[in-house]
Amino acid sequence: MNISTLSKTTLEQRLKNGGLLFRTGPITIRLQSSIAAIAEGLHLLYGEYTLVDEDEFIDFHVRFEPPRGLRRWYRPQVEFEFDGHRPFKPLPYNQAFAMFEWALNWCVANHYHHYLIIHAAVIEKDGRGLIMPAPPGSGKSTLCAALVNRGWRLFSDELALISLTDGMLVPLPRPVGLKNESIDIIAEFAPQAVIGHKAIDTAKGTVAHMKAPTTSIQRSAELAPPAWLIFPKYEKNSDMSLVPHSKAHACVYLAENSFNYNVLGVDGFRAVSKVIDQCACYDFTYSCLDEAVDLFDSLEPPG
Amino acid sequence: MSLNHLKQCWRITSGFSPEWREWEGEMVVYDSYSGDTHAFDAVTAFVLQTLSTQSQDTETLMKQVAGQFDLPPDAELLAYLEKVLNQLSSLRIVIPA
Repeated sequence: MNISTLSKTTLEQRLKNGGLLFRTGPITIRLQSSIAAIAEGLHLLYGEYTLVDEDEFIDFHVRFEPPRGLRRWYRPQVEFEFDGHRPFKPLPYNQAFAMFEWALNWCVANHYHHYLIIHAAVIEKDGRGLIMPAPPGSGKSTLCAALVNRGWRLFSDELALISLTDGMLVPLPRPVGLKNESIDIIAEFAPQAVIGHKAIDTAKGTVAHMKAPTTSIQRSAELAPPAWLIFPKYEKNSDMSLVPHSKAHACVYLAENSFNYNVLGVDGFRAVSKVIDQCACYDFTYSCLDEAVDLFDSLEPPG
Repeated sequence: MSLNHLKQCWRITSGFSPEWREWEGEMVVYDSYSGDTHAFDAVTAFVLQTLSTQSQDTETLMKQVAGQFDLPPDAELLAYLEKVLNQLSSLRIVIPA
């Protein structure tokens, strides 16, 4: 049974009371909140995620509520609670849904150590995975959003989950975070995309989340081997280019941009090495999404 | 370059337990002792592999590098080798024996 089978009123009641229990990829969550924006965001962007029974194991128990105190009357805020702890300072109330998304990423990145987790977008086509690690501002999420609206399957726009046993990529298809100009660019590029509420004046500027494609959510149990590791970079008015990237450098980059490489020790190195073994590695510069999609669609799998 | 300098012997640091992989002539080393990961060029990788089997002095290492990569064992190569050894030393992977 999916979240969309709940009426908005029932959804709000579950969130306010015992919590909404649902699954995204391999992860189960109990979410509690009385904040309307979180209920609205879930209603809009999470309808196709599976509800979880009370007797199932829950990975993360999270709660988002306004903090107590006078401030709630003149400057409302939202506070994140994780297993009874409050790891972050509150954020402005209008950023509640964005905080939910960021907090969930934090939960996975810092606690899900039976996978190697790398800060990267992951997509898949024809059974082959493509990993896009890149620093903020490189256009990674914009490119990822464009590609998953043109036939690529979304695994994640932020967290690459890599199995320690067989090196397979594990889907965690959640809404794609878009920032600033990217929100309107994707709205124009993919008019069918469902984009949620814009949170303004966040630490990242204006932020909105795009709903993960239905097929990506439905196929979230289907793993894929990595085939390409591409470092994207958006450069205005640039000519598109795809040039080989040193595998040794790519290996070190993945290690340095992993959330739990140090926790995993030599198992982390072996997992990263396995990814590098399997992938063709490139630097990719682009300025036009249509051209980028065409190039990605024509990528040859590594020999 | 003094004779003493050329005769300086080097060895792998005790406890250094590397796991390494090589791609396209470049090597990546995982140091399970420190948890650090390093990418090295072919010469550095060769020096590290050589010292992993046996301690060597700088002069002998230079001759081995020269033979391996078909380079003249001259001052330029020696300067590069010293740079490599300093890098490995600063990472506490090799130490004077």
